[in-house]
Amino acid sequence: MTTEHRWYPVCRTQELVAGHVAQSQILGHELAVWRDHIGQVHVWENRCPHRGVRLSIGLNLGESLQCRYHGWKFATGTGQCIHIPAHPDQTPAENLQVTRFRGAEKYGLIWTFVPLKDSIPQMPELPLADGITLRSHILQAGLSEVLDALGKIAQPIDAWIWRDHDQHIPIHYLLQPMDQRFVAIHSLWGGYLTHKDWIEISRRENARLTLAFRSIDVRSGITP
Amino acid sequence: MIKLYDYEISGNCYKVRLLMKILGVPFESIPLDFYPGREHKSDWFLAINPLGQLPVLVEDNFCLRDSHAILIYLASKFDESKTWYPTRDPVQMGRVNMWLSFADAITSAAGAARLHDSFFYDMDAEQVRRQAHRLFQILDETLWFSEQENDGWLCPGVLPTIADIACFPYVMLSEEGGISRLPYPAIRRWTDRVKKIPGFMIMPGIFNGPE
Ligand code: FES
Repeated sequence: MTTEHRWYPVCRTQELVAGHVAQSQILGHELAVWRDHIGQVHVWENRCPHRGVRLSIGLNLGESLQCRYHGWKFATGTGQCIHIPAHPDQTPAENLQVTRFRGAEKYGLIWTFVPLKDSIPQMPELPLADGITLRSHILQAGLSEVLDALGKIAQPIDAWIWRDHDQHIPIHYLLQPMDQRFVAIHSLWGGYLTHKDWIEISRRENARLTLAFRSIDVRSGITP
Repeated sequence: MIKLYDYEISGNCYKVRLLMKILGVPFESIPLDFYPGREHKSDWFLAINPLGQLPVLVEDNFCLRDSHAILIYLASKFDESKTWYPTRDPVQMGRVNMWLSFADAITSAAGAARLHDSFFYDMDAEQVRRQAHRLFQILDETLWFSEQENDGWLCPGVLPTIADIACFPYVMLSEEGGISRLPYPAIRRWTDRVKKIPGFMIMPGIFNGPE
């Protein structure tokens, strides 16, 4: 799909509401993304080290994430298993750890990268202090189809960051390559908005993007 | 006492049980052998419901089929606050009815895909999955804006309605029909909210939510 060693957005920060475990994906890696009791964000492989059940159907307990299947608990921060209900008196072995990805919060989005090299990649620089995100779109299509459709409304700054053609629409579109079937597009508004304006613009831009991507839905047979 | 002709792993039966539990309505479940026994197509049951579908509610001499008709009946009769089915508010009631029809469409799409994958029904599974994705796109968009402008229920307002109860089961069971909810983050957050409704209960394949 791509071998670029770089940060990609995985979801909007606002999506990580208390007690929730968001499900996302990056370059074929399924992710469970959650915010703990002190507000720290964790990007974990969406796979319980016990039997591989998705952690995104588990419970966000604040200090730990509990797997749905046999109730193992994994500590915030380390991903270390700290409790096995079937053996409550035993200390779980140290190798019982969730695979973690590095997470970051910037521009109103949660970011991560798949480590293809030893270094930590540079976070993309956008000409924005912070960001106000609009509704993200997750499209059932390959990357080239998505880029074709996106080209109708925006132009690339680099392969993964696009800017609206229209000078009056200060939106950057950030791409998230999920896997062969899905690509997410996150819309980032540059500048301040009141809540009321934000909702209005969210509705307007949501409608515009839906229209721009209708050809993709039609091709994948998902038609109105 | 209310009797419910019932099947444990039917989403349509579950939505009726769920509302009765939330409203604190006692009932007696009469389980049928839907699969593999096809008892819902037996002569004795067809005499009760000629459509051969579950659930059916029986109360004294009153007999009601169709899960959504049953939800409307139960909410109108037992919910004194009149919020679950807002009979005093025509606008809201119109919205609830609109989403009840939408829930039927979800059943015919996501519910059908599950019958294909888990109960080996013969149908064009790809076609119903595509239809389910189209419906889930609409649902996700509605819920996303509802989170921003309201309290995140299908119909505007601070409280859930039977529209949420009606849409919930076959959305939750969609992965048993090969329909991933990965592309629908607002739907995923809404299912967390439904699970926090006081009185919420589970069925096989639908788990408890965060406390
Ligand atoms: S699979 Fe997660 S605890 Fe068993």
